[in-house]
Amino acid sequence: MINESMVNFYFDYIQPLLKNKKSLIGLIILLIYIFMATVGAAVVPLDMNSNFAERYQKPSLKHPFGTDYFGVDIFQQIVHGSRAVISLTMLASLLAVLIGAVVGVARGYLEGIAGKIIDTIIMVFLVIPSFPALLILAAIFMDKDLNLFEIALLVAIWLWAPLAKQISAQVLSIKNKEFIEASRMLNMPLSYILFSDITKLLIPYIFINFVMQIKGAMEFSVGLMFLGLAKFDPTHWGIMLNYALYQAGALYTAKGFHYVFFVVLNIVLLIYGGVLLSQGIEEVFNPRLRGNE
Amino acid sequence: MNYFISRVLYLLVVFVVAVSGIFVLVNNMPGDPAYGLAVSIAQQRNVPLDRALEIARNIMGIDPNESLLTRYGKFMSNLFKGNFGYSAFYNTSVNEIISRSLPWTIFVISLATFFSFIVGIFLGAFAAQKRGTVIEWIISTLSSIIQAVPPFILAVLILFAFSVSLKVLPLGGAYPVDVEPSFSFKFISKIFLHALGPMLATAIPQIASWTLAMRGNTSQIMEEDFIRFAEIRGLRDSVIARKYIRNNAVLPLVASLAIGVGYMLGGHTLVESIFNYPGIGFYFSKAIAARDFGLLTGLFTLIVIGVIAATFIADFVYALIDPRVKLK
Amino acid sequence: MGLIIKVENLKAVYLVREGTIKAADGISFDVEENSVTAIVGESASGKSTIIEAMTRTLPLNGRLLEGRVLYRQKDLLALNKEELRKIKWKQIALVPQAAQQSLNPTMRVIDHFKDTVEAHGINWSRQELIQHASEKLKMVRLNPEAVLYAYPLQLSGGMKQRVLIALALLLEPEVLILDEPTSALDVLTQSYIIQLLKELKKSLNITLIFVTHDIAVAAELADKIAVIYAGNIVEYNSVFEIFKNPLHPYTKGLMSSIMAINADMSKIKPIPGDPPSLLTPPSGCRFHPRCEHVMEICKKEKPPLLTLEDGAQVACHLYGQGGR
Repeated sequence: MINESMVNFYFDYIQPLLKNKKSLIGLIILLIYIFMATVGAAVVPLDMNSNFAERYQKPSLKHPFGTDYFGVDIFQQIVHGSRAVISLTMLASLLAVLIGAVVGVARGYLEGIAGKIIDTIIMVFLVIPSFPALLILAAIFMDKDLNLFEIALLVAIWLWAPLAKQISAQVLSIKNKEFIEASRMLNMPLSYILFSDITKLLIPYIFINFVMQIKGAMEFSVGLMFLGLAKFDPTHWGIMLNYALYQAGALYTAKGFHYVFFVVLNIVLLIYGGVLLSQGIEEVFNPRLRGNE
Repeated sequence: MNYFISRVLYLLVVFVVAVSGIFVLVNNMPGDPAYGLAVSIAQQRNVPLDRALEIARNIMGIDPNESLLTRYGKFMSNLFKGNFGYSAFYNTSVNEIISRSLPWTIFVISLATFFSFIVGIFLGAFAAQKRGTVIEWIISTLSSIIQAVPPFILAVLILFAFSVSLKVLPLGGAYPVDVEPSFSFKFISKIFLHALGPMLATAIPQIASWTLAMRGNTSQIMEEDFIRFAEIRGLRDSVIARKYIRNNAVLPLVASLAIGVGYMLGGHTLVESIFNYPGIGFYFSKAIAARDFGLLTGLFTLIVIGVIAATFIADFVYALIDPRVKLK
Repeated sequence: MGLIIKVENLKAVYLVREGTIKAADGISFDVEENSVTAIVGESASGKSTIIEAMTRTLPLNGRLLEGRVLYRQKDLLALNKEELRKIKWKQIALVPQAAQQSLNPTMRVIDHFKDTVEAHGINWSRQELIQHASEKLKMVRLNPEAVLYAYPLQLSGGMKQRVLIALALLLEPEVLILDEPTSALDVLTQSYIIQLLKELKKSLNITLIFVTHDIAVAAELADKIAVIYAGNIVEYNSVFEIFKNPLHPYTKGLMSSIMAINADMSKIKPIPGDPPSLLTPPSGCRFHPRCEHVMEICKKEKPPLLTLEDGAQVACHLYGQGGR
């Protein structure tokens, strides 16, 4: 049973993505970074000791991305930082999607006052501008040492609302379709209807939205680190960027250009992977956008 | 009309809930809200810090023994009187800060949004019509790459490129300190020069997203049956492109334009602080750094009002221009 | 009565991810002036493709491979875009199948009339436009005051279908082609539209060609019926003859399945098997895997469309080489 549905899932959702150019390239980019975070971080050593003799070395075989203000190899930092970046981004996206799905399904199913209340909660999170709110939240927790999960949650709180709104609309529209009526008539318990029928239909939707959250989650988490509002792994790219620009002032000297360049390049490339993958998904599953083949 | 009233009431509820949430959030920030003002009072008047704290609390109307609930009540009743609170750090009312900073923010946001909307509509429609060509590929790839650059990184890059390296743009402020504000050409050109950096940082990501949205809408509409039927009737391509494709593709975007402006108020925080541009986002980040609770809550409330107003206007505008909505 | 349209060996395909759909595979037929021709076939038999190819309105993934469509000795398929644009609607009007989405949702009905008139360089004043449009709307039994200034979503499905017909009549074309004029409408509206087309046929000098999957509609309206199976015309004859004496085994099957409604249930003989996929059509005669009279030759050779002595046209090896 499970095997069969896994196979179906592959043919319905994964295989079409491998055939679309955009989603394929996006997937490859993301996989490269996941590889970097898992295997790469285990293989590449990290030497954070200052070595002023080697400060601001240009990219070379020895230092593929050059060295920073302290003479530390940038490539090593990027590789080890990818761990924090990827895990934080993925976890934040996942949490956002989970919160969004649960609230959305609940809203879609509940009627009357309860539904209205959830509606209002979703709306409140929609009208509160996320980045300023995130900054305040971060300031509240600044003095505490937050772990990975807590930071991811901090980010996810400001990402879930649009998804919940979409999902609730979806649930509302499929709610009255015949098969749900049928399970009602068969006297199946409410919880069964909720979690079996509706979630089955929502799985692809959630999967797609997980990918679409990557951009937001990346932007927010890098932003937090960049502003120094959350303490975390010093090789997180956001923190590296903060060091490069404000501690080392790398852009004030021509020698430091590559320092900023490689950090920014990696941030942008990783987000670009997510953007491409979600564009590809959009094309594959929204046939009206598909070009004529 | 009934719909209109219920919508206003609903948004009012949303507003009260959102602002209450913000109030609780801000008041949970570590630090004493009167501390900042107290330090400067202690220095200026040469009084001990304990006494300065008392004075500061007096100025700000804070009673340390007051419960959060009482403070909340005061804040809300002030708010409905149009009083956004008191800034301890700047030692003035939040209303005063808003009146001095909001015009700059609106100036930058509205100009940048308007400009990028026009450019994005044009580029998106153009790309959709050149479907499958190199031109389309270049436009959409560039737009996607720009979308992948976090706006604050883009702002930093623009600042360093134009203000630090090339030195063609100023490093901060809304106008040079040594120029007297007046309606002269010189002053106005300086204003634009100072706003150019923040405007670019605001406009470039927007151009990318309008372009992609317009391209998506246009290519969807190009496949609609009514386009084919227009061709069948022998209509000229130029008429179809204008009246049938573009009009239908732009309509939903006009509604998001209003919402976009609302959200820009909040999203602008980082851009303004990076460029040291004295809009509300600049004061917002200062308020966070200085733990200026009053200013923070006041500005945040203002931003929420902006977003809610924009949502409302968007609903309204959409109903006004799109017969499909109007008739329901 | 002379010929107005002559279709010769029309071939068109659709390119899809899985391959090419051979939707029109050498279609030839003649249409006489002021006659009504029905093109009848099951869904996905390629019947709509024929008229789309004829009028060069195939979807973007459609490709016209070869053939000629002579309209008063002019080959429509050889005209350049501008020449064709001028003929479209003014002389040959086409009402597409998707009547429900064929009007611009953000434009009032009257502006559709206006654009159409302007596209053909006619300079009518606002007054004249309203007058002409009202006249045509009345012809399809619509109240001009109520419809002209309405937006499409204010109209019901049947009303939209009639607006399209009124639009098609606006420039008084010689040929009116309708793609499934009654599909997606409720039964009452269907019969109403059929009634309307009948009246138009009587009152106007117009040649009607329409596509339908409903042989009852064809029987009611048409003078001649072309039966389509898997991208081919299998039989082309007058309505009377086709019902009285169907020649092709497929037509026979089709007829017996319809007769069933008002006849003895025991006589129903549904055609065994399913229509073939046009991606990989059967060799030779495309009907042979389902035919009860199948012969060796049917699997190898495609039967040509033969004209028999009495004028009936049929594509079947049973009638070849002096057979029958």
